[in-house]
Amino acid sequence: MTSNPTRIDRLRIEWTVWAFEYRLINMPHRLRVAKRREMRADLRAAAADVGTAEALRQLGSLRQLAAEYLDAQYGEHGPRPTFWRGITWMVLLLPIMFALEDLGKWSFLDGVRAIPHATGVFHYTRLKFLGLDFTYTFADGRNIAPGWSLTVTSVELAYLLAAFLIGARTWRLLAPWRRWRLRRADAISDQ
Amino acid sequence: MTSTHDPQLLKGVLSLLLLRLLAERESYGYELVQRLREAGLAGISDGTVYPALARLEREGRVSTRLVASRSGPARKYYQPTGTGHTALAQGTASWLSLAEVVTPVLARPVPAQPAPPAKEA
Repeated sequence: MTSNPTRIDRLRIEWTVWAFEYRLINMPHRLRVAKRREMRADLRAAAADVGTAEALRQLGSLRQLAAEYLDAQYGEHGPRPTFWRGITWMVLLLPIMFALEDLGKWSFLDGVRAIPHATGVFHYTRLKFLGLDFTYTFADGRNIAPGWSLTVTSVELAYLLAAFLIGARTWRLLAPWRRWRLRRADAISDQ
Repeated sequence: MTSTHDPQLLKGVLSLLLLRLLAERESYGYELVQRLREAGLAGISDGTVYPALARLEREGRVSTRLVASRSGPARKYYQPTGTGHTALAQGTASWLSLAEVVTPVLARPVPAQPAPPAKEA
């Protein structure tokens, strides 16, 4: 059977193709796009042959299909990039950076306050590695121009990005170690 | 006739079948599904074949090229590489050698009752 797909058929195929790509989120972007395009071409060919409903049915569960694609790409037990691990590393780093910032800032302010009748402009530059530089103006032991704001500096953003990349991509560094562990497990089971 | 095949058994030889079909004729994913169905694997799903092709590609056993299609987006055609041809030859020899042993055993008539154990000499 050969049929011309209707607009609804095309929409169903597009929905399936994008839902499939979403499930490949752990795959590098270039590969993911290639898989999506291939899936679209194959689904359209199948839909023209057996109808859209049957073509989609023959595809089976998208979750399972995506899992099999990932297994095919990285091996069944092989390490693979994990988007969510990258996010986790980022989320964990954020409070650490804020804590460092607060700790440094408040320690500095306590130090200034310890000076009797502190007056003048005080710079705190020890947090430059986070892109932070604070200036406080004291008059008679009182901070009259609090030098803080609720912003994330570009340096902090760079750290967050690095945390994401390390979290999501450390699998490449760990791959030789995992292969060694698998080989050792095989050797033990062979004995 | 629609026959079903053990997916686990099929999994072991699917890549061999794909390599063989591709050695005969360059094809795109859905075309290969059709060819497998025509060959007798009527129940095989698209979702089984596509990841197997992806695996062959990752292993360097097939290469691909995009060919424009009149009826839709460009199609990805697969063909075996040199490594693929070698794997096909080795896999075919291995399969035939195994079948040579397995088939006669399985083809023997099954008795109604298993015979008692052979007496020790």
